[in-house]
Amino acid sequence: MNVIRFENHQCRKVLKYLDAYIDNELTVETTQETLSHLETCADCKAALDDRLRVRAGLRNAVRRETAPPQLRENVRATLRRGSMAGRYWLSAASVLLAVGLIGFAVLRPWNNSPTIAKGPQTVTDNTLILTVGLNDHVHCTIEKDFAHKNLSNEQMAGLLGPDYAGLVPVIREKIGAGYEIAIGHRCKYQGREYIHFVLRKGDTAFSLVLTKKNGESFTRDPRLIALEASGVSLYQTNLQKHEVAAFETRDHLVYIVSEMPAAENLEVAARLALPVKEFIGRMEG
Amino acid sequence: MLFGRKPKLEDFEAAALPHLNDLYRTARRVLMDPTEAEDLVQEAFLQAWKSFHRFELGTNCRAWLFKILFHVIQHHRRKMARFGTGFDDETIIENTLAYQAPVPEELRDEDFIAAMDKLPPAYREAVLLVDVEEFAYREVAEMVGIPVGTVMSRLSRGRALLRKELADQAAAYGIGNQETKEVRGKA
Repeated sequence: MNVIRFENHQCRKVLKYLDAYIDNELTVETTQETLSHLETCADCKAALDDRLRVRAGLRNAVRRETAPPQLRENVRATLRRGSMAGRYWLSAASVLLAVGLIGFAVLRPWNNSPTIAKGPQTVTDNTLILTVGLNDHVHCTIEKDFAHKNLSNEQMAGLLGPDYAGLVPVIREKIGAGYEIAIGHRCKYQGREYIHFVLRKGDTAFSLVLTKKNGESFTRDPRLIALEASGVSLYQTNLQKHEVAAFETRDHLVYIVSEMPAAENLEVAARLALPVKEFIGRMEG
Repeated sequence: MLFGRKPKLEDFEAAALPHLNDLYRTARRVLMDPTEAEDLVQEAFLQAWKSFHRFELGTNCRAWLFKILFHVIQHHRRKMARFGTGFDDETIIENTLAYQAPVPEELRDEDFIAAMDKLPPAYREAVLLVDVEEFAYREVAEMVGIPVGTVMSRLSRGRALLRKELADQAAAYGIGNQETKEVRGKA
């Protein structure tokens, strides 16, 4: 039997961090330290793999369970009634409710279109797509206060992984004088993974955010398209006091999010859009 | 306000109902009772609709709904006065975690569900919200109304207990004892 003993001080330290490590909740420095140790320690790597395997298995198992088919209609009936009915009333009246809902669908007193969003197809949905990038900026740049970091290309390459590390020199070259990269890393928010660069000009921090599409696609809306050049349509709007510019590739959404004036935000987005799009295009094949 | 005017039920449903499955499966595993889970999910949606005028664009609708769901669940537990955290046996848990058995490679969905259902409720909540629903520690802390440090410790212990339970189940079936590495140490 193969017995592994975690007696090394560094191993004990890393094992203590492993849970927060897999949740992407460690500081950049500790993440880097953990990552370096895992690259050289087979025992800790095995412990990490164990945790990841259990998490994936659990996630799959629990997510297979779906809500009972009648629950959606019961919720909608409750919302229209404006109060909860007792469980026993509900079971006794479930047939009546179903009949009532059919009648409701036919005789709705207000003549609105169907209520469940089918996908990002409206102007509001464009706004929701723009919100995806804003959320990561607020969560990571502002709340984690990464604006004062100053990571090297090598450090960022380690955090970004081989697919996206090549973005660092692209950004450095194209972003323009006076702008710096504070940090480029992978982060996760609301279950969504992001490639996130915190950029800086003087005291102003802003974000370049990439995330893989999850069924989203912008609906072409001239009111939101701030700029079109070289086949890139840049959408921009103001959300929650932030300027959010974005474009899409086949598989990615890319954002510039800041509290800079709209024109300056758009200018930065315009400088980065084409080279970043070309970089992603090579990756997407 | 989300839409800058009196909210419409249609807008609320479009924003909230896509999360129905996520809320239900969490309530189902937290409460261990499908009928109770259905009732409390309905109550949570009703409460959410009543406060929808305070919901702001740019904030996370899913996290907001989960927060309301846990508020409803906690209120329900107080009413029923039958919720124990399972922390009375803290020492037993500490001793249990001192030895980490290997987790076998071959596990079925029902093994994970059975192991999850055996966790003390507070640990189960933390594991569900982070591992299955992928919320950040800070979001879980806000939802459940506990400090972030408590989320971390419940999660860490919950995960360790889960690994132990899975290993014990597998050992009971005679799976994985010979070939899987034995891992010792307090993880």
